[in-house]
Amino acid sequence: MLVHEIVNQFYSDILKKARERGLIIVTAIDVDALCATTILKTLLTIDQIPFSVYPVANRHEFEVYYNEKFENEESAIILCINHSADFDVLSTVMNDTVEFWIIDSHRPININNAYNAKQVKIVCKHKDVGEIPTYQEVFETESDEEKDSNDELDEGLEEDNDDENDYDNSAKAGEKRKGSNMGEKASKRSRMESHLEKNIRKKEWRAKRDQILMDYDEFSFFGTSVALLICELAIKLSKESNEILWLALIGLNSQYLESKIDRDSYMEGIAYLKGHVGRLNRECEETEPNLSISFSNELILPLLRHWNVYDSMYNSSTVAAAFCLYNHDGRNKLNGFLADLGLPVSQCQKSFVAMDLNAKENFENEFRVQLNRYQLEESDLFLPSFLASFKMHGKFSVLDFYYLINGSLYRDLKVNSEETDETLAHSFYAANNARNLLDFLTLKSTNLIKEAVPQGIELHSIIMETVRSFISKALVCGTSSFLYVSLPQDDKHIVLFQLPVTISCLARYTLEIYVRGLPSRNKRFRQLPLILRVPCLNSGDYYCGIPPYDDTSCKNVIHSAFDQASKVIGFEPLNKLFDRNMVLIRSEDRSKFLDTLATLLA
Amino acid sequence: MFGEKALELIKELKRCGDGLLPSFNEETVRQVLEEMKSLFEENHKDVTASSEGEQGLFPGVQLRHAALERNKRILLTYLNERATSIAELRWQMGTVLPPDIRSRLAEHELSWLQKYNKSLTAYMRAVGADITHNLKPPKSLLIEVRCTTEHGSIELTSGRTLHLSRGTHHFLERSECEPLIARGIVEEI
Repeated sequence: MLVHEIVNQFYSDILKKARERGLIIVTAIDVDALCATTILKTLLTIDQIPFSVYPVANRHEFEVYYNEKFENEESAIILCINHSADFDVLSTVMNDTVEFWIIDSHRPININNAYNAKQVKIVCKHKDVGEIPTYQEVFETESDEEKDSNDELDEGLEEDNDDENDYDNSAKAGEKRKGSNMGEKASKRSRMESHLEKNIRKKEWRAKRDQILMDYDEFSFFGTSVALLICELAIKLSKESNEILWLALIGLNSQYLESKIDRDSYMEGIAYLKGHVGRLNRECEETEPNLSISFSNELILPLLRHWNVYDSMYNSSTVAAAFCLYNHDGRNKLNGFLADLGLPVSQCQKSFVAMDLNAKENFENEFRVQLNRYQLEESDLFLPSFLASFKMHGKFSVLDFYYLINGSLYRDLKVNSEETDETLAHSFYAANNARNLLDFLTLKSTNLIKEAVPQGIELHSIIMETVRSFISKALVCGTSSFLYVSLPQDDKHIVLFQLPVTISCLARYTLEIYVRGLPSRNKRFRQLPLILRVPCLNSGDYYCGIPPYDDTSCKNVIHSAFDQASKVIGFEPLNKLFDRNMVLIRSEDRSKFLDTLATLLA
Repeated sequence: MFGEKALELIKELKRCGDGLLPSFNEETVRQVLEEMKSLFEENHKDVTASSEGEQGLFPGVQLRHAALERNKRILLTYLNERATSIAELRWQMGTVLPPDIRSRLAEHELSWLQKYNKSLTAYMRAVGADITHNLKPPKSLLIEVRCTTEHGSIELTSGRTLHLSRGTHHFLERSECEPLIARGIVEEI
């Protein structure tokens, strides 16, 4: 069932039931979901509602959790944050007393979820839903089925009666019988005909339904950020604070940076939050709050405020794509650009905080002026965004937080893999690191945030280094229907690329830099999706598909190709991930899988 | 100088800072007492002499008397301070003190502690509650905890079961969490 009233239907319902039945929050581990969970935790803490938070990494883990750990909680309310809307949650669940509430940005919504009135409730906005096929189009209504089955039953019974009549009344008046027999035959035929007709109609209806479902499921896309949705809830409950707004901004921004939403949707969210940010951050306030937020037009350079200008630009995917930074010429071009900005080498290599004050102040203006000369557009490199200042601890941009959070994920992954390889299999990166992240996101300790900076930098540089090596070693190959790149098995950073977040980052950056670096005659590659293969440490390979570079609609068809390919080959994906544009399949199926994909996408 | 030894006692207490109890300095206390005894004897001698008619001894008597008074005050302070901190330790650590702290107490302090314990227990029995717990009223009935080990399921007083696995967060009633915190299964955030 779809729920649009987030306060009256969702929150008040949860408040009513949670105390007795227990509230279990199962959160996915991406930036947006973690921000949303943190906001929700704040709200529930204010209302003194007991809850438990379980972070899960993928669908498989969710099912394991459900079947092994929550099985005793027969009446619990399970709140899924940023997962499960797009697959049938009840398919693996046996008992019918558990209630699922889903807050998810994955679209399209699974049709079984949307029409389950009792156990599954999906919180979403009207505009996010898209066009869901009507109930009659996709489900056989009960009355139809009953009528059908009754008809069949009647027929069977009557036939039996006929037979009995034949034997018992053989001696009785033949003509009468003949006449009645004739009449019965006729009515039987007509019944048969109507039955056949019904069957035909049913078949047509089924074919139509399959078509409708296929059309409905063809594109996967993303709705409003869940953090933003829960922030709206907080605002409606008048419990908003700077921390909550900040988390919502991080969630929204992460969606944009991960190319899940287009710029218009992003701007819409920003415009909504801007009003509230302005209201909560008046300048004339006497006591300075722990966290204050201000609007600014930010340069999209990763972690610029905590790195230096040269490295930040060198590792920015947009700049790398524009200057072809994977070869010598590209680096010369970047040096030229920096010279045009009027920045001496010594200043560029200094950490941004320590840069000359004049240079720093002029930096952004000069940047704008020089952009045109290098065929760069302002919208590529500037993004309306927000800055947070934590009292004495300097300023952080919303953009920085995206890298910082992913950096923290990476740290825990490293720790885990050093412990044993086994932990990776189960925890995959799940619970353990989300713990740190949830602490980190309470924003109480600025030390935690600062500690994350070096990790954020390290993670991002490793991703960019891998992208550069892909391109300089010419590992990206174009087929007629898609671009394909595969991470070598012996890559030393392979541990890092076991997370959906990093895999999709790697794929996006590779596509952007590869496609923009192509000579103009190869323009057709711009219309091809990219498929990245990353060997999984345990067994099998991850495949991640992202839409073509020229496609700005943020809609992805890869998942349906993946689904169909797996149907054609006839295997089950090894591990079900929350993102449907990613699958994990057995290594021996690789060539078959790719061949099928090639024909499907052609 | 009179009173110097006594001052050392106080200085020693202060050096140790709050909450830390130095061992009872029997030696110095004895020296102070000896000093006081000699002071008193001299005074006694002088006073008897002056009552027999000798002149000019009063300033000396007064000085010694002041020193005596000072020593007495300091000794009392010393004992009182120690008694207060021993009582505090009792509130913090319960009836049984760890052996290293116990060894620092003097004989009479131990017997004092015993008596203190007895009257405290008697009072608590009369009131019917353990007054050494929850000295500060808790801000909320529920607290947020983070699970640090793979513990498995536990049953809550409400009848619900709760699965504790590493890295999960729970917002629970304080009374349910306290035993878990004590066992090191969860930690408070």
